[in-house]
Amino acid sequence: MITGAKVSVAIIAFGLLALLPFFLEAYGLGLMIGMLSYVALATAWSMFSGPTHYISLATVAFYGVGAYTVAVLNEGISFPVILLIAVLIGLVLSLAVGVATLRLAGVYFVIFSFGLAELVRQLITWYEVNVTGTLGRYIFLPLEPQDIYWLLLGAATLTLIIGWLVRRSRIGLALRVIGDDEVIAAHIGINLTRTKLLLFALSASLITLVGAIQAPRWVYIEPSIVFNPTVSFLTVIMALLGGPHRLFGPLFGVVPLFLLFEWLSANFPNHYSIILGALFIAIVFVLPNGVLEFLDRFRLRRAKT
Amino acid sequence: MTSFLELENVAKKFGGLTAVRDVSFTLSKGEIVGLLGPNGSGKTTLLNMISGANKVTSGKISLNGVSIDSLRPDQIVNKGVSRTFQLVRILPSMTVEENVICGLAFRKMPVWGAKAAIIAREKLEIVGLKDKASLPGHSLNYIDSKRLELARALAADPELLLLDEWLSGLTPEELEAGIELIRSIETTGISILIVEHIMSAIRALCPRCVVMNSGEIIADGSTGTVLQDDAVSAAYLGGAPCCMLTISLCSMTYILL
Ligand SMILES: Nc1ncnc2c1ncn2[C@@H]1O[C@H](COP(=O)(O)OP(=O)(O)OP(=O)(O)O)[C@@H](O)[C@H]1O
Ligand SMILES: [Mg+2]
Repeated sequence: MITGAKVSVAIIAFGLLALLPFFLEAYGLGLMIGMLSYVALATAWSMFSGPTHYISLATVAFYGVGAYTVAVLNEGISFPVILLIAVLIGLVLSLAVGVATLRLAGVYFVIFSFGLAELVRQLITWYEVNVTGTLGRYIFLPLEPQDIYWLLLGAATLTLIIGWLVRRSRIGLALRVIGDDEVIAAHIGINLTRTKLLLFALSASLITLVGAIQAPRWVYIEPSIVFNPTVSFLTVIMALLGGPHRLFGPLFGVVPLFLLFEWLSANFPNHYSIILGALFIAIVFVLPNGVLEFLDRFRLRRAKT
Repeated sequence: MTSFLELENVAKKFGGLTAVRDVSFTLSKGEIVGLLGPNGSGKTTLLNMISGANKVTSGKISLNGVSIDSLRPDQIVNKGVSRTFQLVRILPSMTVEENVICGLAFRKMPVWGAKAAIIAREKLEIVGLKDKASLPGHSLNYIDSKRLELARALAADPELLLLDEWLSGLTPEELEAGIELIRSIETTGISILIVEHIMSAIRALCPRCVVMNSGEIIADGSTGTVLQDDAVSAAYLGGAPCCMLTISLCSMTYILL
């Protein structure tokens, strides 16, 4: 249910976040940029993977495509137009990938989605080396960190609004039915392929947008930087920790985990991946439905006794 | 009577196994027909082909003169066919009412929002589940799950209803009520194809029945005559040990799962 109070809280929170760059140092702003990008990524990821239970590891494929589009187009075209082109490329790519993979059953989909990022990376590398003869590209755009922050805040907000609309719509219900039982879904009139494809493409386009907005932060881009599989894994862990079945679930996963990873990568750069993997396993086993659902159940149990 | 559902030389192979071979029959508008046969004779497979869950290997299925055998299940629902499943299927994460709303939201003429809630209640009232509308789907017992499944199938506003052993596993009182319920649905003009092992139910509900054995139709006619047919009793008696074995295997799997 949506109430006036909730909307006011959301608007105030948005206003405060929008003012943040005026009070933050460069380091703090950098943290917030990272955090906002993961809020958008994890929310967009959950839009499709939450209800369907298709665990996609393709996040970085789209994210990287978004960033690479900016790297290729950054001269001569205005940034908003570049962003639009990036989103369109992400849309087309996700539709093509979706048509090919969404018929696959769960585990095959996971593997394929993981392979996709690698495939895209190899293709771009091959193209750059053999056709354009360069590997790295520079991005010179007149964008300050706070501009990127505001754009990401916009992207994260847009993602949450779209997520909210999807939930209330018929297609949101269709996705829930698909997640519960595909056989029922098909037999009550839901076009499985079309529904999944639509949401997959929507989710992927938003992910592409995030990658594109973040691109100017790197200044120098090459495939191994923007197609880093850690992005896919972090997105999944954060969304799962928070709970991908709720609109604000991913957000609650992003904040603590992002800060934790930030601290880990600063203090234990060599053991970072191992800790990441262990955490991944722990979350899936201990909190399969996310923190929010766990708290709800905990509250329910306390209320009963 | 014009033929409404028409099957012509329908066959289904699963790899080397022929589950259904050369089946032809027609069902008229508003007719209720029983489909009988020993375990593994291909009844569910036949329903699956009509509802689109399985594709025919060869043959034709048409509804109102339009071929439906190459359509997907969701397209077939929109042509007016809905069904229940032999192993009951409920949407576990949704409430009873939401389960029915899902049946309304994606049909040919979708209903959505407040109006859907009203119609859902009506359907739940028909099957006797009105009081349980707000319970979670997974909390229902066996008979109530079956009722809910039927309400969801009715929500699609079908012209043809396929029931796969919907009456099995009920107590005598529940069976009595179930038969009445199906009869009341039939009087609204919906055609029904009903797969069932319970002879008394078939006798009570279906003036006509079709009997299958090893994937073929061995009898088709008025229920009284067909059930006295020698071939039919032979199929059932001959199949008895095999049938017992399947039943015990099924129940064991069920318990283990
Ligand atoms: N998906 C499948 N893959 C392979 N074989 C199948 C499949 N579905 C059914 N069969 C086989 O087809 C045959 C017919 O099965 P079907 O389920 O249609 O029988 P049935 O008449 O409904 O039996 P029951 O009374 O036990 O429900 C059986 O031998 C069964 O093992
Ligand atoms: Mg069967």
